[in-house]
Amino acid sequence: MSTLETYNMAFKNGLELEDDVILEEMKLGESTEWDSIGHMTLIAEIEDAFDVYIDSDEMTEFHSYKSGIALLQRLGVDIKS
Amino acid sequence: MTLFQTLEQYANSEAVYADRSYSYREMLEVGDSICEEVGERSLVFCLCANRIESLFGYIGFLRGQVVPVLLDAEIPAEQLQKLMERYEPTHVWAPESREDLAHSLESFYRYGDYVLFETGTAVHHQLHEELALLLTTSGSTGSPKFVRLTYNNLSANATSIIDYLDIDHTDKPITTLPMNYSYGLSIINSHLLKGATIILTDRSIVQKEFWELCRAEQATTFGGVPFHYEMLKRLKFETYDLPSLKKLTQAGGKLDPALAQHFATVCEEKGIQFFIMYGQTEATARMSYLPDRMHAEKAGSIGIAIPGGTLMLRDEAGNDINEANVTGELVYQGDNVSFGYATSLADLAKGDDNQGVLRTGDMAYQDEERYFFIVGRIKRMIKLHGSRISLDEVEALLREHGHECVCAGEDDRLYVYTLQDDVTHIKKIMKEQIKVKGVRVMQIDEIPRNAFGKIRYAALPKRELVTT
Repeated sequence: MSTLETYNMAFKNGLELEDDVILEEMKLGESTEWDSIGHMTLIAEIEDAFDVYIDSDEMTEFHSYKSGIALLQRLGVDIKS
Repeated sequence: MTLFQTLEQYANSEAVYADRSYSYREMLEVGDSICEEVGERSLVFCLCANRIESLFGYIGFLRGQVVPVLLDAEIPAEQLQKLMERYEPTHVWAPESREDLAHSLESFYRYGDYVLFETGTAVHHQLHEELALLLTTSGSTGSPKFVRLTYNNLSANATSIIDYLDIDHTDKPITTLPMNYSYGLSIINSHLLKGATIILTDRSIVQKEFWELCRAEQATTFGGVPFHYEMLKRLKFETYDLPSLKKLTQAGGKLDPALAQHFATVCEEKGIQFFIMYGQTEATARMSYLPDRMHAEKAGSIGIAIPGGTLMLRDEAGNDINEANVTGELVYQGDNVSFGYATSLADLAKGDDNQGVLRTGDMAYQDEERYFFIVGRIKRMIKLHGSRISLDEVEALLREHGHECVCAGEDDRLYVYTLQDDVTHIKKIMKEQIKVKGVRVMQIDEIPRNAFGKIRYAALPKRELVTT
C-alpha cells in the first residue's frame, strides 16, 4: 500500500466513512462524520498508521484532508497528494 | 410564572457574542417577535444548534409561554417526521436548509438562516399551565419520550446553579455543548438570568478557531462531559495560556479518577476553579456538585446536593439508608425535579407525577461527611460521549429496521451483537439513525442465556473472536 492509500484508509476507518465519500471534500466541523469525537479517532488512526506523534497545536490545525497531508509531510512522512 | 421575564433589566448589556455582539434588547426583540408569530400558547419544535437563531427562538418561546421541544438541528428526517406525527407541533423553528421541512411545509417568517415552518395541524394542544419546555431523554435514538419541565423547574435549578457556582454578570461562558442538551441549556439559563454574555459557537475544542475565540472574547468558563476532558488532556490544556478562564465544570458522566486528579491539579496551578457535578434531565440539569478544592479529599465523589435540594439513599424495600458506606438507590428531592415524562400528546396536559422526588436509577453510598459516591446503575443505560443511551431503545430501533440484536456496553462503549450476517447494514443504521461513534457491531454464534432464559450480558464477548 502506498502512503497515500494508507492515509486514505486511516481517514475512512477513523471517521467511519462510506466508500463513496469524497475524501478531498472532508472538513473538520463541517462534514457530519468529522466532529470532535471523529477527530480524536482519526488522529489516533493516523498516529498508528504512520508511527508519528501529532502534538496539540498540530491537532487543532489539522482540519481538512489536504492539511493532514501537509502535516504528515512536516512530520517526515513521504506522502504526495 | 414564566422564565426570562426580567431580562429587560439588562437591555443595554451584551447578551451574546456570535458573529458579532448582540445586546439583550436585540435578543428579546427578535425572540419575542418569533414567538408572536406563533401566536397563542401551543407546542412547537425548536431545532437547535449553537446559533443565535435557535437561542433567540428558545428565549422568545419561554417568555411568551409557547412550549418548545428542543431537538438537535441535525436530527435525521425520519426521526423528526415520527416525532411530528406523534406530537403535532403547530410550528417548527428550523434552519431553512432542512429540505425535509422546506419541501412539505409553508413558512412566512424568517430570521437569519431560520424560518418558522407552519404545520397547519388542527390539533389544539392541551398543555398543563406550568409546562415550560420538553427535552429529550436520550441524545440520539429519536425516542419520543420527553421530560416535562416547568417554569418553576428551570428557575429553581438556574437559581441554585447561580448560587453554588457564584455566577454574576462578569462571567462569560463559551459554548461547548449543544443547547438542546440539559447541561448545555443549564449553562445558558443560569448565565442569562444574571445578565452575563454567552459566547455562542459551533466550533469544538479540537478546532483552532475555538481557542482563538476563547482568547479574543475572554471567556471565563466552559463545561465539558468526560470526553471533553479526555480531549483537553490530549490537547495539553495545561500548556494553554488563557488568563481570562476562571471556572471549569464537568458533568454528563463519571470522569475517570486519574483525569479528575489531573484537572484538579492543573486548574489549581492556573487559578481556575474546577467543579465536578452530577445531574439528569429529569431534574432539569443539576442535582449535586463537588466543591472546588475538595478533589483530593473526596476523589471520585459526586459531592453534595445543590442548594435547595436533598440527596437520599433508599434500600430495595424503599426504606431510607442513613448509615455511611451502605449502598442504595440515589433519590433526589428538590424544586428542579420535573413533572415526569411525556410519550404522547395527551401526556402534555398531565400534572406533577414526581411530586419533587426523583429516583435516579443510580446506586450510591455516602461517607461519614455525607459526600455521595456513585457505584453503578440500575437501568440498562450507558453514556456515550455525555449523551445518555438506553440499550433497550437501541435494540428496539434496530428491531424496527428488521434486525434482532442484543446491546450491551459501558460508558463510551456500545456493543451490538447479532446472530445474522448483517453487521454492515447494522453499522449503517447505527450511523444514520443514532449518529453515535464508538459502536462495535459483532456477529456471534449464540446469545448466552441463563437457565431462566435471561441474557447473560457479562458473558458476551468484548471483541471479535478470531476463529482459526
